[in-house]
Amino acid sequence: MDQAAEYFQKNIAPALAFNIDFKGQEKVTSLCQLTTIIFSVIAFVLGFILQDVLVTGYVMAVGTVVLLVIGLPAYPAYNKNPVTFLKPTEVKLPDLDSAKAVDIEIST
Amino acid sequence: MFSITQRAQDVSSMITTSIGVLAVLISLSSLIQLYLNDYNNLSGEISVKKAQNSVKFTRSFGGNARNGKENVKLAFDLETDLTPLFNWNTKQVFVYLVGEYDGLNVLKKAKVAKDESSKVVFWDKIIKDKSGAVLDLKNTRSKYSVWDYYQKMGNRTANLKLEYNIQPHVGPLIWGSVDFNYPFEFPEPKNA
Repeated sequence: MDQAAEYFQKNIAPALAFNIDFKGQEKVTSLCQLTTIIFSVIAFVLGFILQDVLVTGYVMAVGTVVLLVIGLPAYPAYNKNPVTFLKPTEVKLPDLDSAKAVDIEIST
Repeated sequence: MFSITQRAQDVSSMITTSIGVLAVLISLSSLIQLYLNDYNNLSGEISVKKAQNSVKFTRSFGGNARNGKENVKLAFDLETDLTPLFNWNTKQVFVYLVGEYDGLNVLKKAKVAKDESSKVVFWDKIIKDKSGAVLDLKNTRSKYSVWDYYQKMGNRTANLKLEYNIQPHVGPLIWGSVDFNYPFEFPEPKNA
């Protein structure tokens, strides 16, 4: 059971994350907020003019579907600026086993 | 917004916030519409065609075997127009015909408030649509046989009015009444 969970966490879960890079996140955020506001305004105005609350509900339902289609999948347009990580380099660590204690003299 | 679960959470929060704001705006706009339609100053006409007072000795009519309870039933004509109450935010309007009369100061020892009054409901109806808002009732019988807390109802004068309760889709419940200025005296019981 543990091995299966570990295998899932290591190999399957990262592929299911559908990540997008930072510039893409900015785009998605502003796009989603804009479509939410537009659909809310259209829903209220249409419902008020036609004097029917169901019209408002239906327009908001359509807006929800549009928002899910815009925001959820990781489109390649959101992945245009991938983060460039540095290459792993060899770092020389100090040898602490052979270090000697150093007396620190405080001059007064 | 980095992963699909995070984006789903953000999108759902945007949707619920917008639905909340829309609910507030819808209820506010409907309240403004009601105020502009002058919903508080409705008028109408009523006349009581028949009224009957009989003493009942059963539990289901407020009495018991020893002491009877005077029960009043009536038939009335009613004419009123309730269309100002209906807008896009009105789910249904519940109207009920009440008679309001002064309480009996029967027990002098008990500390009964001087302005105690009683209300009884004779008839009610649920109106779901603007098309049903124009009430033109002829010889409608009361739905309920009404009785008072005390035994005596005859010769007491009641003020009849049609009270309504606007139940919206979103927003607060609104109560109001159509006053007819029609004093109605309960008749004397037939079988005293």
